[in-house]
Amino acid sequence: MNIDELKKKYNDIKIDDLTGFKRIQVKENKDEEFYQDLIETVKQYDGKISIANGIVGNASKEGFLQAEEIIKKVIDGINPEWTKKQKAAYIHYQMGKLVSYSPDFNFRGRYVNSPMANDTRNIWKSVVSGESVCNGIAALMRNLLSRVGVTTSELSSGTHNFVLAEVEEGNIIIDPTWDLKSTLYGARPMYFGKTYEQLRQEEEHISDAHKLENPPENVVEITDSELREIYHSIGYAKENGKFIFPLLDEVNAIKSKEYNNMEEKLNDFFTMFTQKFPKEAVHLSETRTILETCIYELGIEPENLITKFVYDKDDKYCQNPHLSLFIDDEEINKQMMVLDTDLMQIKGIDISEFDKNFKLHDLNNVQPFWKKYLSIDEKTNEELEK
Amino acid sequence: MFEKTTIVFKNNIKVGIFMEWLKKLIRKLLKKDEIKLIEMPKEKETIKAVGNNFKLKLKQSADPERDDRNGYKIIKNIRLRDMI
Repeated sequence: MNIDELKKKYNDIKIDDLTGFKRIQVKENKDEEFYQDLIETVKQYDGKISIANGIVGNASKEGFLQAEEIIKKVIDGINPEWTKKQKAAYIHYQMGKLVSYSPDFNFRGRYVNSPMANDTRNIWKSVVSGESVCNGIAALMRNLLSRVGVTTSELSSGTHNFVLAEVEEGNIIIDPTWDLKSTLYGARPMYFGKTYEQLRQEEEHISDAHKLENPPENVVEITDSELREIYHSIGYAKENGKFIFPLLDEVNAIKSKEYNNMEEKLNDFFTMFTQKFPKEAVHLSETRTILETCIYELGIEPENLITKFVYDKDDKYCQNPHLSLFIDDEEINKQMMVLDTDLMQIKGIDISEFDKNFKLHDLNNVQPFWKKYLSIDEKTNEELEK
Repeated sequence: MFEKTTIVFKNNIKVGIFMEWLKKLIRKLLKKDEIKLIEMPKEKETIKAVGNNFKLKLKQSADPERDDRNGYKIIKNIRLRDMI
């Protein structure tokens, strides 16, 4: 069908004639038939077109169709006989593989209006780029769930968006963003089916991310045992209810070996990690926190590890972060490392070499922590250059 | 006449509007064209034990990547074995 026919059939879509292209704005929670009609319309359209699920963010025709291929693969993984809880659990578990959290950094009250800011709120751009923020991630999850018959609504605290899904017994609260690390690395989801009271009790005085002016009603809890049962039934937990989480087995294997020193142990871990988890490793936000957890597990105290996103000095708009890790304890003395996602290695780097090549985000006015480790000569040269 | 100056503050200073005012004042007094204010990072940790098996550790730091309005400033001091 053409655009006019689409508009006639679905009168809640918005079509704008802009300079040089048409913009179709659709809701994220329509059924599968709608998106199939939309795909056909976009394919047929002979001209420039953009597809959006909100005021900001535009997916091109090619981007939209590419994303729809990816989405189709996810939907095809759903057993139509599953309950709504099972479908929701399955979709929740795909989110970590689909997208990585890519925040708009809050630099002292100035929110970065990065070129990516709008893209990360568009469902299809998020799927193609693999990067999104909480409202994009929530919109994507709602989109996927609506296609398989699960009704959802958006929950928003004002600073964070998450999802309320209607299942057989009532509503369940899901935070796909906060669970990205778990769902990417195959661990136990921690934000699937908690009640509002449970979330607030855990986070009171710490975070208002889940604090709602009007908490949802008829919320049912998914207990730990039920969670494990559901995930076992869809193939992501073992019969004993434990999640597959292959990284834990690998770390335990390293812990059980003898090493001459901590440096050798960590090098073995980094080699294993980049070899066995290369697809996961490029999801930088999630990889950052999982590496922190692993390094803690291997014996480095959290206060002796600093992780930072840094940028090449010639990265004008700070669009391509690198993950840096710095360890300084009794055994590992001031070791700087960088995750090189091209070579898929975690490489040690001399601090002065690091300082020459990398910077913090341009809007970050904090003194880079590594500066204090530069030699006096290097610091003097830097001051002279200024 | 047109000079850059970098001033390093070691104490915790509230930024935003105050920093902009401070920069304007320094520019005026010292007749400098560009001022860059660099703040030393501050860290404050609060550990809260909750009724389940893991501790929540709030790390209020100057690291903007951990304070992006989405509550990512919660750093769960969780063990790998608790994620299974």
